[in-house]
Amino acid sequence: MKETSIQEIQQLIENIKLQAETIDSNKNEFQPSVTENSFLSSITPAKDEIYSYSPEFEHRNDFLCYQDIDFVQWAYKGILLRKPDVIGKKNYLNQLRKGKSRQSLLASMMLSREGRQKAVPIDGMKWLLIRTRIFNKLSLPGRILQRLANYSDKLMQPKFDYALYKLHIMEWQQQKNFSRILLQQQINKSSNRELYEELKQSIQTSQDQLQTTQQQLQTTQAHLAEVRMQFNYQQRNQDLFLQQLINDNEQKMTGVQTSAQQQEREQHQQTLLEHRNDKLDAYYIAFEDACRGTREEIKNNLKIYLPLIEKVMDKISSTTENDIKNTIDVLDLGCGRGEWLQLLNEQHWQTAGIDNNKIMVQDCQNLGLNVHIADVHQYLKQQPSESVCVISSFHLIEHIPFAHLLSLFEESIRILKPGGLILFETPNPENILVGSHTFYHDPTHTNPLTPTAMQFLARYTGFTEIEIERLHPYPEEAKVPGDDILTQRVNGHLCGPQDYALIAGKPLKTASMS
Amino acid sequence: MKILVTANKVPFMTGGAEYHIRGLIAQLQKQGHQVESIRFPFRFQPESDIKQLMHYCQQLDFNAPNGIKIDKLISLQFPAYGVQHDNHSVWLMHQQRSAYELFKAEQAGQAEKEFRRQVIDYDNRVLSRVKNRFANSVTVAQRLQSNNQLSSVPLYHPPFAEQQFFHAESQNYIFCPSRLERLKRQDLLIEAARHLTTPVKILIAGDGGQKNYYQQLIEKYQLADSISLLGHISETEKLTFYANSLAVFFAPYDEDYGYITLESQLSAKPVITCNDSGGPLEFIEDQQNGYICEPDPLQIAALIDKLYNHPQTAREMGQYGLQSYKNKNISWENVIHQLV
Repeated sequence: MKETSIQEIQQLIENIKLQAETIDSNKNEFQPSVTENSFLSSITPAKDEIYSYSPEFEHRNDFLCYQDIDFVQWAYKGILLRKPDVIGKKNYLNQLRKGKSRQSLLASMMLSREGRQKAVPIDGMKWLLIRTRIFNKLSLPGRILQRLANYSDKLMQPKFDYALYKLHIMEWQQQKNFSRILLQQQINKSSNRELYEELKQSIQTSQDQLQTTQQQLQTTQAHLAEVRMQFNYQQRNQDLFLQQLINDNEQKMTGVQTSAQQQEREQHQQTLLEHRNDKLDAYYIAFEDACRGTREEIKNNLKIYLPLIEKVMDKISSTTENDIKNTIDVLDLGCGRGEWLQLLNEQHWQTAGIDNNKIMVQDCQNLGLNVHIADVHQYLKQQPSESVCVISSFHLIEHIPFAHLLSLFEESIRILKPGGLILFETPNPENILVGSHTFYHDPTHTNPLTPTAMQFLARYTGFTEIEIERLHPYPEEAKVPGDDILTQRVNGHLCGPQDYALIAGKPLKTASMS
Repeated sequence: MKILVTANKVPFMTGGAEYHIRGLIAQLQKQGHQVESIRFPFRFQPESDIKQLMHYCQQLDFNAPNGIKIDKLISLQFPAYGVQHDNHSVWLMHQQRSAYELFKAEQAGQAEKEFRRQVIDYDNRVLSRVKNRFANSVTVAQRLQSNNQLSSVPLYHPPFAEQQFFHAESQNYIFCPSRLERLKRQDLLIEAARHLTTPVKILIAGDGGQKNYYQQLIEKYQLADSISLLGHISETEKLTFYANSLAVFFAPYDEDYGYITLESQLSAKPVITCNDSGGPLEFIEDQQNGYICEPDPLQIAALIDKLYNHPQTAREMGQYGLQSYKNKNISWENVIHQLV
């Protein structure tokens, strides 16, 4: 008793689980995993495709397995060998729906003019054709007999399961679709394969190209190293030659008697020794080329000073007599590659520039600029008083030891005309990165100069109207985002102006006193 | 809208809460919102872990973390609802139950009492600063009102895969799906089986800590011919067991909400529950779409026999249950409309 009860409950559980399993498996059947529209449309048969299925029509029963409109369609196809025309189809369909048997309709169709022309042989029609001919001849009794015949035809028609037949068609259709999907898959597969091969090929090509480029690069680098070494040998050769000249000269110096000759020799010796410094010139010009930016960029940056220069020139020309001859409008100290002088010349001002880098001076002269090789300190001492309107220098004063810097300021105020001014641009150490890092990119820099110190120096040496113009902050996108006090401070110190210009004027009063 | 959903995560422990959280996120996304969830790892023990999490949560400000502005915050669970947001809605699943309705003062040690004090203090503070408060059910809303004097709007949501439930001709068994835990009180049903006078069967589905205990109980009472523990069953199996059952037994102790009541009604089955079961009482009308009795095996057995002997009544009660579920108009659309 107990055992059967336990079996009973197990059976119950099993039944429910089986039911669940059926639900699950049905779910799988009715939820296609691929639902993409394009895919579905490629496997759904077109509506008229059903009719492309073409059975053989040899016996009347081949027709009788169809009903109604399908029957008429197939009768047209099997007997008249064409698709039904609209009127004809409607006519036959009407007859059928009014009670005419399908057998009679087949006979009528075969006996029609078109049917006789086509003369398709259909088995099992012989008696039906005779019957119809007879009925057609007897007009009234024929119609009555025809009705009777319709009834008997319907009783006699072969048993046929239309639903099963539809199912058969559907199955056939599905198989066809299935094989089409398989085919499609195969095509996809092979086209994927092709794509894959193509991709592989192109990757291989790219890799090959990359390899070639790398090899070329290596060759170039090797070549470069070779050239550098050759250059080194030549340099050493020249150095040796120079040393030889110096030694020779020294020997000759001890031999000579007259002081004129002695002086000439000494000067020669000096030149030879100085020539050794040209190596530094070469380094510095290469450094500037690499770090300072293009000529156009620099000229653009410097344009901001033009209004200032114009103002000063106007001021001076309005206060002084027209002894314009032999004066310089703008004197640029450390003129480098001469961008600033070029810019000024374009404005038709009289300019002069000095630099101690022979190569740069040569370049400037080639550009037609009034530039000389000179040491700033000595050059200024030689200039007459009140002969220059503006003394400018960009990134020069941080190269000079302080004793010379003081002298630079003192000489400047002497040389300047009353109302003239100095314009000295230098790196701004208020920006921590400048003060601690970028300032030292240039090995010829001495030490950073603070705006406060330069303001004081200018005041001390007699300048008035002293201004500090802070320039070239980091771009906005380089700053830390945010607007609170801490962020502002961080941005100020790390991303603030990287340079500043000291602008200071020589007072007019001095002029009237002298 | 950018919406952040906060909840807990108890790894590899799936239950109603997990369905609830995922359901909410999915539905918010369905309505076109940008949704992300933050799940805090939650451990029931030791209590110091929970305290740490409370402390951590209450300091978090989600208005614009990392400069990204979040429009709305929805919190579901303790202590995640402690995080801060100007547009904060809490949809309370339940509070820390061990500090409230499951707290037993006479058995509690000093540590438990201190923990309870801290939890109540936390809830009072963090829940009162929330802009909108909703509760999972009336039961949860009432607890919040009586424990913390804070009001909230009860907001029902449909169970997972609501539309998949179906109804079939009943077979002679009572179905009882739930995790096998003490609070779910499957033992009431096992005890009741001893007093049955009809050959009705009892099928208990689910897994859990009390599995061995319940199995021993069945063996002890020699009930193997009328009760079976099904263990874990698949989602479809669950639906099918519901659909073919005579009735559903669901009588947990003070449940917060209880999907099982709703699932039974969706399957048009009457539910037998107890008068201290909490959430189910909001849905069961005694004698109409189920029965409410004392947590007493004798009474339960009598009701099961009654249903067995009157299958037509059982069917009608089930149909009325389905109707009463529909009348409540429980939908995610409504939930999202209210929450957002």
